[in-house]
Order: sequence, then structure tokens, then C-alpha cells
Amino acid sequence: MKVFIKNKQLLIGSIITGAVILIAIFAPFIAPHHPVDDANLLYALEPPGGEFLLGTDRQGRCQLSRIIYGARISLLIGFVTQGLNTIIGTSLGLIAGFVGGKVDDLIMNFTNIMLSIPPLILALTILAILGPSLLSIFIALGLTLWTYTCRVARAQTLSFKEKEFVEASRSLGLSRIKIVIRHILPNIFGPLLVIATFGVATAILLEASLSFLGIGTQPPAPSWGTMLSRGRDYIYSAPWLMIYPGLALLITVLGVNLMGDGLRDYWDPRTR
Amino acid sequence: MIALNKKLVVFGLVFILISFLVLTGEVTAEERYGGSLNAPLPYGGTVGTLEPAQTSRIQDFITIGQIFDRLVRVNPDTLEPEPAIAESWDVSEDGKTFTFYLREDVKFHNGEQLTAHDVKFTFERIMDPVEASAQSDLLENIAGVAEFREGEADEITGIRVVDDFTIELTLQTVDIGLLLNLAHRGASILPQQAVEEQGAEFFINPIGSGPFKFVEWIRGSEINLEAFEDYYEGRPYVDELSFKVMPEAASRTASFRAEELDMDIVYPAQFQEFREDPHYQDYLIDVPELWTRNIHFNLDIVQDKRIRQAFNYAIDEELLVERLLYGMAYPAVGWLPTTSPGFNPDLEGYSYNPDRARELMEEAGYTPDDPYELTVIGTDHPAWGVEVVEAIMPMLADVGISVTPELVDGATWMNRVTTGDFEAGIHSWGGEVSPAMYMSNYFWSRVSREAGNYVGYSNPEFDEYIEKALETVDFEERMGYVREAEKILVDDAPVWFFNYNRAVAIHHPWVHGLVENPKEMVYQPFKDVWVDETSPRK
Amino acid sequence: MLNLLPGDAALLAGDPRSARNPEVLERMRAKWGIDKPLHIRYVTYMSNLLRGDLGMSYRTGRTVNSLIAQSFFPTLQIVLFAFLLAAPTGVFLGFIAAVRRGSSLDIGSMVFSIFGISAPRFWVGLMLMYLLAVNFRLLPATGYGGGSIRYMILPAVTLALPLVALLARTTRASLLDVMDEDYVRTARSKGLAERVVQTRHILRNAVVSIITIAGLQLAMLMANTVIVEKVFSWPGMGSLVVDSVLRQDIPAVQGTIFVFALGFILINFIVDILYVFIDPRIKYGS
Repeated sequence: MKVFIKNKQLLIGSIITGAVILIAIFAPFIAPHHPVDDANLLYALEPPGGEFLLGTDRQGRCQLSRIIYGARISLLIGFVTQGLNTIIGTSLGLIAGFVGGKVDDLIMNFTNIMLSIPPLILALTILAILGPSLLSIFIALGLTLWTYTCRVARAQTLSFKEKEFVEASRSLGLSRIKIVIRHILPNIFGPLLVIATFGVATAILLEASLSFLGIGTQPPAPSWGTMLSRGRDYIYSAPWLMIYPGLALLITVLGVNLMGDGLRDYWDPRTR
Repeated sequence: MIALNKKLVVFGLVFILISFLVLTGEVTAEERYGGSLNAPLPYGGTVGTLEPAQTSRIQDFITIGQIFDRLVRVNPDTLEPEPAIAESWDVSEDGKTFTFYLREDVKFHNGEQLTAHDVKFTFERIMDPVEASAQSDLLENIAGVAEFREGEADEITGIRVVDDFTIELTLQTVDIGLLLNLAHRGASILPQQAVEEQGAEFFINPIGSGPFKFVEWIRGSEINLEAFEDYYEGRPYVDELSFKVMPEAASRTASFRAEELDMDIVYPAQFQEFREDPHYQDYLIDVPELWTRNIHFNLDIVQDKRIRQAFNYAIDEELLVERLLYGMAYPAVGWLPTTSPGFNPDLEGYSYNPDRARELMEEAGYTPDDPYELTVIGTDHPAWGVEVVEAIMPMLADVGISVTPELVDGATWMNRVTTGDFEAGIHSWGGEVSPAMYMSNYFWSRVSREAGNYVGYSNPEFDEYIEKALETVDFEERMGYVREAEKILVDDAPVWFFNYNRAVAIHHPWVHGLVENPKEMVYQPFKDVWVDETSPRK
Repeated sequence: MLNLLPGDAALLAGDPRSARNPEVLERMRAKWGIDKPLHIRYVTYMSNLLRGDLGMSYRTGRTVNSLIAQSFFPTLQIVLFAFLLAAPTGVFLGFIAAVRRGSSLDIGSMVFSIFGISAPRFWVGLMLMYLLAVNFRLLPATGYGGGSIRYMILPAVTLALPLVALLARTTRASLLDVMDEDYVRTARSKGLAERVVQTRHILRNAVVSIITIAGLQLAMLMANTVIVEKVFSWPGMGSLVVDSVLRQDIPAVQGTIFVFALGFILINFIVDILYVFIDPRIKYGS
């Protein structure tokens, strides 16, 4: 039973995430319309059904197509920024844990300071300085969410540092970098992957929040956050504009989170 | 047959009589004192300041207008200045000296009498270099301002207190705009004694002579006022007036429907809903506002007049107004909106003509396959922001203009446009009562880009007419110059003429006395507004 | 760093039409001290900060201290309210789930919690507003209402939902951990009543990790106020920071971030102290 529940999380999570990834990749083939160029005011605010399965927006663009293309933005931002975070967080964590001493203090103090600023506010401020663009979002989110990875990487490194096989390779005269790459990194890979998976979900939500506040992804790109923020004006007359992008966001984040849960159970069976 | 007809006639007459009684009964219902009114502050997240001369935001002026009063006010129907604190005024023969006779029964909320000394104090404070007032422009033309500012004079010579209730203003040049400037909420009169005693603290707990007294300011949330019993035109009907900060249209509508707001400003999305809702459709008031929506071209970049004209020809404004704004606007022909005294009904603009647009673009060297590229910056405003740009993209692509929208926040928009760091930008402009100023503020070559000539427009012919208009006192003659200037402007097409705004407000059935103010819909004369017994806040 | 924000505060503060006069602009710049070079401004700012003075807001003409003083309490209100709602609910759900492991109750609360974590907060807020305030008119939709409870409910519930979800998961996980520990098995084998085992041994020992998460989450709550306050037009620190960023009111942004960070550090400190009280095994300074 336990195993079944455990597998089910990973299974469902992977299916959902995989589906969203496929949708994003094959968007041009799946989407019935172009998400930007097919604006036609004559079809503005058509309700769901008929030619437009999920209705149209103010500009008369097919919402289904926009949601499908929106998956590209969400996933791109989720994966790229989390990639950046993992690289930054892991490197700093490894250095802090392995070198120790003053370097450790310096890095961890910095991490703790960064950790004390809410990520959304930090990202908002970075975006305000850089001006909104896709690159700025990568930078803003990439510089924001690495702290947790860093702490985990450090803690894991510390726990492996004194292990016999590390001691042994050290006495064999292996260089520090080689020890880290060959022995420590593979051992801490699991927990880091778990953190990274959750991080993707966080990054997707953060992008949506920033776009909702109007400083995220640039229109006319169909970001789910932007769609939601615009849709709320139509809560009475065109509720589909608010409901479906929200659902798309919920399902995607849910899939990634479930996958994270499943992965965590796999690497750390102690916590269920 | 005849008998039947007679019966019908009698029945009909009785019916008409009854309905007449019912109707008039409703129309002439007694104005009622008491209750409170909740109105929105819809234009931003917070109120910045309640110091009249230190702001330029309508959000702030809405409240300032109720707490403070001015020498004159603008009648929302005629758009002409009419008496307020000053009960009358004379103008000298050369048109440069204005003598204002103040009412002797104007009191501040602390009981002190308002005198000509307060007026002089207020105006000198506005021009004081230490204060760096955002509204110093209003009084720039008064004689002696420069000397005062440079520290060469202790007072402004052009402001002279004749006696306690008479004040004389002398101008450097003839200026048709003085009275309108004095009616501006930035020129609200302050109580000298209280301001001098309290300094900056005064504006946290301000005292004015307006119809409502300040009670409390809950930052980012609401400002509460109460009726001022000794207001010189009689106390307001409602006991309390509460302004709620509500920038989000959706949450504002929710609050209105939940009866937490007595009135609301309606955006296109909500307009469509209310208009079709039998419960609300009778309580919409709308007015063609003095605001023009358009895309400004940076003329340093979009130099080719043909491209700007093609842009204007390429777009079906009627379709946009109908489908994107749900009829909440009037397609624009020129710059001056229908409610402006200078509106020219005979003006020829750019009707929808994609063929002509394509021709012009081809002459300029662009085709749909090899289009002219243009980035348009805009805010997230639903009626004059990037959403409009997104809607016109296909029409423009059709004639050979490839447009990229760029979303920026209001502050950045302003900053980019005033520094010339833009190709084109969509926004809404106006609120100016004087037609000559409505044009000169934005297109006169003597106005710098920072100050309002965002496009960087410079046409000597246009300047000539505008300068004449600004100096001419006779109304008809002045309008003649304004019309000539606008013709030149339309031909040069420094902007895409999109629409003139139609402002819509909605209120609950228990609210009476709201007016159609073309200058700004939220600038209501709240002292004349009353609520009947059906209000939840009676 | 924040001085890198684009835009000239003098231009931003003034009406562009009134900025017709370059002298006026100069005077405004002088008024805010932004006519001076960057390093001097930095030194001035830091020395003022040490005296507890966060400077003057560009856009409101008021001190940042007074802005924060006014918006701090509303945020504290909903954060505490949300925390008081969420903490017992979350722990209770997690406890039930752990004790009835594998039951439909367990699965149900875990499904709820994964949804609670994944749902975008602003969307949940809007949906709640739509259902409870607009459709059923049970509660006011937005606004502060002078701080009355009725107005607090929707923003607080929106804030609380993800926290309930997280706490339920953490409680469940740490309880399951503890249940496998030797001393619990011992207690159980000694024949102690199951309820006694559950409350005395398991819950008490799981409390440490629950408090850690709760403390961390209390800090997260503060951060989440940013978006929730915007949705419900709540006049707190979150609204202040977003408005300030959007209006490029640099001193206000600096000040608010500073206070947020301070709050985070304070909460962590309190959590550390709580450890010592609850778990006598933890000693500092040894």
C-alpha cells in the first residue's frame, strides 16, 4: 500500500508534467490558432464552445491557443531559472561545506541575508531595476531562489565530508575539486533534484505572480499570470478568462509538486 | 364603440396622470440631510499627499477638492469660471490686472476667517523655491515671480492685498488661463496661521475651507471626511464622506455590488455588464470627458509623415470603440474632444481606409512583407494601454507596419516619454478646459519635451496660430485660431487619433445629485449629493 | 543598490506639465538630496539608518518611517489572524492523517494539502472573493473597513490556505518519523493507552520540527502578503512595497525591504528561543 501511494505520486506527477512539456513543445501543431497574430475584434469575448473551445479574450484571440503557448513560457521560465538557481546554489553550498571556515561563514551569512528578503519582493525589485523582459525574469528569479539549494547542498556536503570514502580519497591525494565532483556531488544529487523540482514549481508561480502584478512577462506573449490579471476584470461577464488560465497554472504546478514528492520519497524513504 | 373609446380615453388619462404623479414624486423627492457616502479613489494604490500644490495626481486632488476651496471654480456644464471664495472680480482694461472680492463669510474648519492674507500666503508658498511645488506652474505668469524666486524680493509684487477681503493679481502678459488656473485644485487656499504653526505636519491633518472636514486618513485604504457645518454655501447633505482607495476595477465592482460603495467609476469591462443588467442600467451616468486617447509618435524617430498618416488610415476606430471599449468612447477626429468649447464638428480626419494606408506605406518604402517596425510603450490600462496595441496589431500588419507593444508602469512610461526614450506611446491626455491650452500644452514648440510636448512637435505655422489664440481675449476670434491650428495638427498627424473618452459612473438608486463632469468624473460636487432612506448608510 | 532604479525622482514626483521649468526640477532634486553623487547619498543613508531614520519618500512627501508605521499594523493583523487560523488547523489535519495513516482521511487531507501548495494565491483569493463576497454576499470583497474582523477574513483565509497545507504535510511527516522511534515503541509495548502515547510522546517530540516549519512559514506569510494585499486592496506593507516599486519610490522600497528582513530575523530568533523551552536537549553555547 505504502509503495503504491508513493509510486502513484511520482507516476501522476510525471504524467502531468510530461504532458505539459509535450504540449509546450508541440504548441504550434496543437493550438488551433496563433496566440498573438490571430487577434480579430469581430470575435471578441466569445464564450467557450464552438470554434473557440475555451472562448476568446478581449482582442478576439483563441484562449485555448494562448493557454497552450503559455505553457512554453511557464516551463521555460521554470526550468531555466531553476537551472540557474541550482548551479549557483550548489556551487556556493559545496564551497561552503567543503572549504568551511571563513569562506563558509561568509557564504552562509550572505545566504541568510538573502533568505530574509521575501523572494517575490526581491524579484520585483530586480525587475524594476532591469526593466521587464524575458532575460530580466531569468536573472531576477535566478538570483532569488538559490538560497534553499545552497543550504541543502552545504548540509549534505558536511554530512559526507567526514565519511570514510572521502577521507580515503583525500589520503590518496586526490585534488579537492576531483573529490567534490567524483564523490560528493553524486551522493547529494538526489536531495538536490528534489529541491530543484520544487523550485521549478516555485519559479512558475513566481513568474505568474509577477505578471499578475504587471511587471513580469511582456505582452503580447500569453503568460498565464498576465491572462489571469486581465481576466479578473471580466469576473462577471466572461469568467472563462479567469478560470482556465488559473486551472492551467494549478495543474502544471500540481504536476511538478507531485513529482517532487515522489522523488523525495524515492531518495529519502524515511519521510512519507 | 364610442363608449368604449371614451372609457379607453378616460382610462388612458388616469393612467398618464398616475404615472406622472409617481414620476414627479420621484423626481422631486425631498433632499435629505444625513447618512454617509462611500466613493472610490480609483486611480492608484495610495493617496500621495493632501498638500494641494505638491501633487499632480487626480487620486490626491479628489480629496483635496473636498477639504479645500479655491477663489473660483469651473462650472461643469458651461466650463466657465464661476464665483467660489471670490464672489466677484474685475479685470483691468489691459487684461493684466485682476481684482478679486472675497466673501466675508468663509471660515476654515478651525473657525478662523479666510482673508486675503491667506490667499497671498498660499500663492507665495506655492512659488517658494524651498517648497519646490509641483503646481508652481499655475501662477508662473504673475508679475514679480522671478525676483521672488531668486531671493531678490521678499514677496511677489504681483500679489497685493488691498484690504482683508480684496486681493489684486497682476500678470506679466495677457493670459486667458488665469481664472482656470486659480480654479485648479492645486491652487487651493490654505490657512496661513495653522500652516505656519504646524509646518509639514499640517498636511497630515489638514484644515481647509471646503465643504468637508478632514477626520482620518488610513493609509492605502481610506480617507474619512465629515460635513463642515459652517460651509459658506450651507453644509453638505451627507454627514460623512468616505473615500476608499480601490485601484483594481474588479475589486471595486465587487465592492460596489456588495453595496460597500455608493458610486463607482466604470471601466469598459464593467460598462458592458452594467449596461445589460436591468438592476443597474438606469443608474449609469455618462459624459463625453475632456480626455483624448492616442498614440504619441516620437517625431525624431517616426519622421516620415506618410507613415504617421498611414497609421491613422489603417485602423478602424469605430470597430475598436465598439468591440474593445464596448461603446465607451467616441472615435476621435482631431485633438479636441466633443465637449471642449473648441471642438470643430467640420474637421476632416482620417477615416478607416486601409487601401490609402497601403499606398502611403508603399510610397514610404514599406510593404506587409517588409514592414516598418515600431515599438509602442503603454501601461496596463484596459482602455488606453498595451491591450489596445495588441488589438490593432493585425490591422497595422496588413498595411505594412509591424508593431511591438511594450508594457511599462505609469512612472516608467512618463520617464521614458519625457526623456524621449521611446518610439511611440499610448496614453490619455486632457482635462484642460481651455482649448488653446489643451493644444499648446502638448504641441507648442516652446513647450519642452519634459513639459508636455512629448512628440517633439515643431511647426511654425501651428505655433503662430497657437500663440495668437493664447493672447486673444475675444472668444470667437480665439476659437478661429484654435481651429486653424488643429487643422495643421491633424494633417501632420504627430499622433494616432484614437478616441475621446466617454466617462461612465454608476451609483446605487439611493444616491442623488451626481453630475456629469466632463473634466473628471470623480470630481463630483459631493456637497450637493444626498442619499435617501433606502441607503444602507442612511 | 536601489539607486540604480531608472528614473529621475524629481521628474517622477512632479507633473510633467509643471516641470516646464528646469529650475523647478533642480530645486526638487535638491529637496530630496538626489543632486549629490551616489557614494555621498549612500553614506548619508547608512548613517540615518543607524539612527532609525529610513529617509524621505520621493512620491508622497512623507517620511518612510511614517509610511511603514501606518502599514505595519494592518499587515501584522492579517498575518497573525492567518497564522492563528492555519496553525491549529494544519497541525490537526496532519495529526489525524498520521494517526490514521493510509485511511481515506489521510489521503484526503494530503490531496487537499498538495492542492493548497500548488494553487496560485492570487487565483485562490479571486475565487474566494467571487464566491463569498460577490455571489453570496457573505463578506466584504475588499478594503480595510477600519480593521474590522469581517474585512480581515478573506485575505487571512487566502493567506492561511497554503500554510494549512504545508503544516499538515510537515506535521504528518514528522509524526510518522517519531512513531518509528524506539521510545515510542517502548511506550507502546509498556501498554500505555494509545491516546496517551499519541499525545504525550509523539506529538511532543514532533513539535520541534513543526515549530521550525511554522516559524519559517510565519515569515513566508509576511512575504505572501505582497500579492494577497494587492488582491484585496489591504493597506499593508505588501501593498506599500509593490506600489513603491512600481512608482520607483526608492527610499520607500529600501525601507520596506529592511523591515521585512528585520521581521524575518526576529521570527527566526523567537523560534530559536522556543526550541530551548520545548526541547531541553537543545542547549546553546556548549
